[in-house]
Amino acid sequence: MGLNEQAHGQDHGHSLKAYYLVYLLLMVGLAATVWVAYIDLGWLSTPIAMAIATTKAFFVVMIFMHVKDATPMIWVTIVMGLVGLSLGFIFLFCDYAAR
Amino acid sequence: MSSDANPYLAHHFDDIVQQHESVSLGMWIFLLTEIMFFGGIFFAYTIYRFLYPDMFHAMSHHLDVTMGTINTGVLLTSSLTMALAVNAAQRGMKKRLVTMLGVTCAAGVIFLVIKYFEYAHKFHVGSVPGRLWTFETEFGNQAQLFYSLYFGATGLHGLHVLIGVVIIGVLTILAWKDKLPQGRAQRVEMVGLYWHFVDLVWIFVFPLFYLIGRT
Repeated sequence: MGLNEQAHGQDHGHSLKAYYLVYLLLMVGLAATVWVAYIDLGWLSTPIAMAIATTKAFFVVMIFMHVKDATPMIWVTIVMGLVGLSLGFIFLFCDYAAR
Repeated sequence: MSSDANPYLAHHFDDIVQQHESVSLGMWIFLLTEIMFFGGIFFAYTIYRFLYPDMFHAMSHHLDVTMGTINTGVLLTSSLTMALAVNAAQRGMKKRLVTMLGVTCAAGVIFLVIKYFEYAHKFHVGSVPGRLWTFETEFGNQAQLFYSLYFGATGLHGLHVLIGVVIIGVLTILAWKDKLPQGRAQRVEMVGLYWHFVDLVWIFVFPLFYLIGRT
């Protein structure tokens, strides 16, 4: 039994299926991204494009990057990164709204 | 097999699970710094897009959606093959590991080649900010802002792809020469995290630069 068999022994059977499923989802997401760009959605265009991108990113992080099965320490680390990034955007939008 | 007999366990770790978490934590902290690094570009993008929305929409039309879409597909596919490579490494399937790493590396090269043609076109029409700028638009020099952000974001992303291609290329050779046994699968896994991160950045760069104001 190798190193990673011990670390992730449980999920080999169905993990490949999950990878193909995520890939399919990413490709559908790509098609959707391009498709909505050519539809007139007014001010909603960018929020919708970002919502699709965030959904794609979510599945890459959870499944491809194995965060779904990560330890609490890794979770805290990732959340801190997202908090930092979000703070930047929150300050930016507050500044914009206050002008 | 008990973990203390594992030849791949470094002496300063209690067991293989602790070693795995430490290495992963280090990689994630590095990726955190990368989030803030690319975050800065997205902050700048947001500020300037708010200031000059019409210019951003008009300039986005000069980017090649076909090439951008193909490149997105290439990167997403390479993320799948990278995930499969990590899986193959963990299961000790050498042939599959070499193939998947090779395909991932090749996809990175294809991405860079397509990017080269996009850049070459911009040099040709003079939409390169700075001394080479000869691009005539109704927005005058303002348009250089969009292209500065475009070259900044895609250039730094491209640099990350290039670094990834080199590292994955080295891994492919190591795997081929039997130097990446199952016990070293974590090396492939950590490079995989980096490669997926590069893919993540592109997932946001693509709609924000190529696909705005298309209606």
